[in-house]
Amino acid sequence: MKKAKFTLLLPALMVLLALGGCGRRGGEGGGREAVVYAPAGSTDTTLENERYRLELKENYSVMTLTDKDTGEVWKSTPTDEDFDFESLNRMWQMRTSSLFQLGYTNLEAGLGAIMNSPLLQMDYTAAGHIDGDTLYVSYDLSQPSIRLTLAFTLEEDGFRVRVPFDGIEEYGGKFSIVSLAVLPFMSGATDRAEGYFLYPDGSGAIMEFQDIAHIGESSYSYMLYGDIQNYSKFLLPFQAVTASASLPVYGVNINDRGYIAILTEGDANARISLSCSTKVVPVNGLYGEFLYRQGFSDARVKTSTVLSYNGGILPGDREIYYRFLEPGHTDYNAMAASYRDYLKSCGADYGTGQDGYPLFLDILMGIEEEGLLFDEWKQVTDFDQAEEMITDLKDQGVERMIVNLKGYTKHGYYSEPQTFRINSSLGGKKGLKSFLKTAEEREIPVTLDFHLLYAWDRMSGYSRQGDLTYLGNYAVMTDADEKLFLLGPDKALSNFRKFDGKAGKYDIAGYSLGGLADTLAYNYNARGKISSRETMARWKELMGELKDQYSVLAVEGGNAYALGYADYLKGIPDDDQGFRFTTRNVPFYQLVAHGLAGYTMEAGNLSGDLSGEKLKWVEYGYVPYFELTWEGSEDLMYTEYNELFTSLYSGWRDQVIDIYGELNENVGFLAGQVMEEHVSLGGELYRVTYGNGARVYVNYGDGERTADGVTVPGRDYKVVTDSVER
Amino acid sequence: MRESLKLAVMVLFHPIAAFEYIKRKRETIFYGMIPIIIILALAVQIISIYGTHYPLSTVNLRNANIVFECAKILLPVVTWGVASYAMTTILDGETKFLEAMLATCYAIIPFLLVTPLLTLLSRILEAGQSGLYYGIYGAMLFWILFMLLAALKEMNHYSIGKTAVVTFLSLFTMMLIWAATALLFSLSMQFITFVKEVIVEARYLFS
Repeated sequence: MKKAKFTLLLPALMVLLALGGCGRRGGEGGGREAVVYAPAGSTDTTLENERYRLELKENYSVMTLTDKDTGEVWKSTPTDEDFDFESLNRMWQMRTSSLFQLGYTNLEAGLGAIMNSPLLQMDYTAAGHIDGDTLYVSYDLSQPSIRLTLAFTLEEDGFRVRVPFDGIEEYGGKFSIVSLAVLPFMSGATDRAEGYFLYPDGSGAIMEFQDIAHIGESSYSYMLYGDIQNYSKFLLPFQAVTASASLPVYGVNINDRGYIAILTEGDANARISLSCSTKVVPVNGLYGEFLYRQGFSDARVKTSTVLSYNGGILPGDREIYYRFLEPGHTDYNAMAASYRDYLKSCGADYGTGQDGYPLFLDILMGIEEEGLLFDEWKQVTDFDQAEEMITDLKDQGVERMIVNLKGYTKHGYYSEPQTFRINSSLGGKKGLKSFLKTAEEREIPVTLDFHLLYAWDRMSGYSRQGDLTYLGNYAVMTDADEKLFLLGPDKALSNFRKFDGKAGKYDIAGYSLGGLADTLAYNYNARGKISSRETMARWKELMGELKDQYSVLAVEGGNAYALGYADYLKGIPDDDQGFRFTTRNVPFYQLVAHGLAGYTMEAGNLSGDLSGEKLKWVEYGYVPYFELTWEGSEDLMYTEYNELFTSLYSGWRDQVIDIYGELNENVGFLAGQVMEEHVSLGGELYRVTYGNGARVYVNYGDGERTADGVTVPGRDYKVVTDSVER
Repeated sequence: MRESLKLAVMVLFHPIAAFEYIKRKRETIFYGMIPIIIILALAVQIISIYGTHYPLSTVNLRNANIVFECAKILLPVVTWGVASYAMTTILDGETKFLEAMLATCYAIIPFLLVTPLLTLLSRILEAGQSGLYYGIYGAMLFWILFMLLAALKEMNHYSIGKTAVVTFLSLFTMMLIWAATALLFSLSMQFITFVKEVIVEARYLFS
């Protein structure tokens, strides 16, 4: 009998495996019928407002936009006069001429291959229809059997291209849309053109067209808001950091003309792609690319990395807003100004609530070190000592200070998911209350550090099956040692709300939250499935609530969706990620964020060159930031947090007081001001101009330098206002 | 229980008599000493890891793995007991399994006695005096080895030559047991991996 059962089971298993190899079923995008925005046969091609005329030509494959005031023309194809269209092969002619480029895959075959086809390479029919102030162009791509619609709208300063989600239909059942790159070569520029691309790599990066370093470099895509598949804590030291970007914006400055493009919708699933010129294709391109399906390493293939795509399409409209810059004012400062204007139009409130730079002080209290039998508590600051620290700093003239407590719970730092149990050896709840009372008396806001996503294997309070983040390939997100996991956003949120329910009863000023603005999380776990778009909405809602409830909200990272909510952004880079095609980095992020939120970079006590870092704080408008402990950090050597290698309060006290005092006196009045212009004056001398007219000159060189009649000593800075030179 | 404790002292000073006693009292002796001695040995091993002065310690506390450190004690003791019993069953032996295991456990009593003292001694020694430390440790191992052989010989009434042969065969059997265990572990892991992959395939299929 048993033998008979086994003989039945074996073929069933083989059939299952054979079917398994056939790949995955199509997703929800498959059977849905698209809304018809432009009925077949409609032939509208031209949209006009007072300033611009937008025309779609050659069967809706080429866009031309004319500025009626200046006569300037932008096209979906490169407008650089040196661009030699005829020198390209047929494939690249189609690529550079197409209005969009579609990535699609065959989910049924499940081979992970993506076809990236420009519009002109596909057989299609198109129709255009104007409804109100919008020109809808519907494409029926017969080869991959996909329908989609682009909606063009003209604005006073540019135009918008929208991709309505309900206009997409995968009617063939075979191919599924993966990505859509809109106007990929509108920014096309040869290597002879004057100007550069600006992309949000780190603080902001520039690729000058005439810089030969980029020629022949591979195309690169910056994933907007990061991807939890590349979560920094999960990467081994030798693993390269995958390109990510915090701001959904890029800019083009070509021959004194320029624009910025803002991904205003669909940014949660998008990337900014840079295509470098080669000898065969002498044109560079920079464009926004919307993702409709998430790719993961196929867990069934061990010998190589093959991507498999999740069947479910990522819903939501996508939109890019192209804002043209005034001729002659097309540098990255103008781009930042344009983006600031856009943020203001969305409700961002510049220049409020910041009255001088505070000292941002992280105080680490304790952490557990993993032991053979039992974990060992390593305490570096208790509440009494923290009280003594802040009292001393205040007495020494540190007027404005924000104190963030780390590692205050029962198991200390890195012990999430946290419950609000204060470690008794630190002084317990009584100690915390006493500390907060002293801080309140001294008008020092205190925040509690909380990482939303971390789930350590040694901690309880979560279910490995139900609460953790899983990828679309059914693999749990974890590090190489399988010690750290990520909570699904929903579980993370409910954990935090429970925590806040208890912590909020104390006199805290707010929170410093990790895992919220450094990488945008998503989860494919069936028990807590959530897309990055939904997560973004959850985080915004949370930040909105916390902003109303507390006086200070700090977040790790600077993803754009935190702008306008967070008072302080921690870990904002001062550099780019170092790709070869980048010519130089610029403080684009700082130009956008200054006056909207305070921001910090690496803690001063962890810098290899504190005097250099201080200059950077001055140049880029950073809030001075230190992370200190009462005891030395030697005890942390064998803990998970051994990156804090020097933090002894008594050792750093004098420098902290001096630096704060100096910066408060010289540049404190610039906090809350808009950073209007950042210029390199050559020879490691930089000038930053603020909205109130103040100019800051920073000289990184060893020798004295003079510019605009201002002499700046070596490795020093000067602040000039109408009345005073400091 | 009291008798067992006395036997633990006896085995240090009169091992041959002690092993004879185990055999003679096979019906009434307290076999619960087997797990007790093993647990004590594990505890002593952990105390030694924690307590041994850093310059003399061979185990880095920060990198130590509790399972591996316990296995270092547990595996040789248990597999020697099993292997020697297996050999004696086919080579005219006279002991039963529990007797063999109990004798093996009593043979490691010097480990329980010497290791804590050695750990304390290490606190007043430095790296330059490691010869003394490791000398005592080596003598202890020799003592244990002698007791194991004595137990094998006396409890089965073997001659010295036959004891040597059975010892060699027991060591060979121990290695076979370890190899077979490793093979079983490897195959189990492969089977688990296979089941996981089938589940993944099924998920891909039905998602």
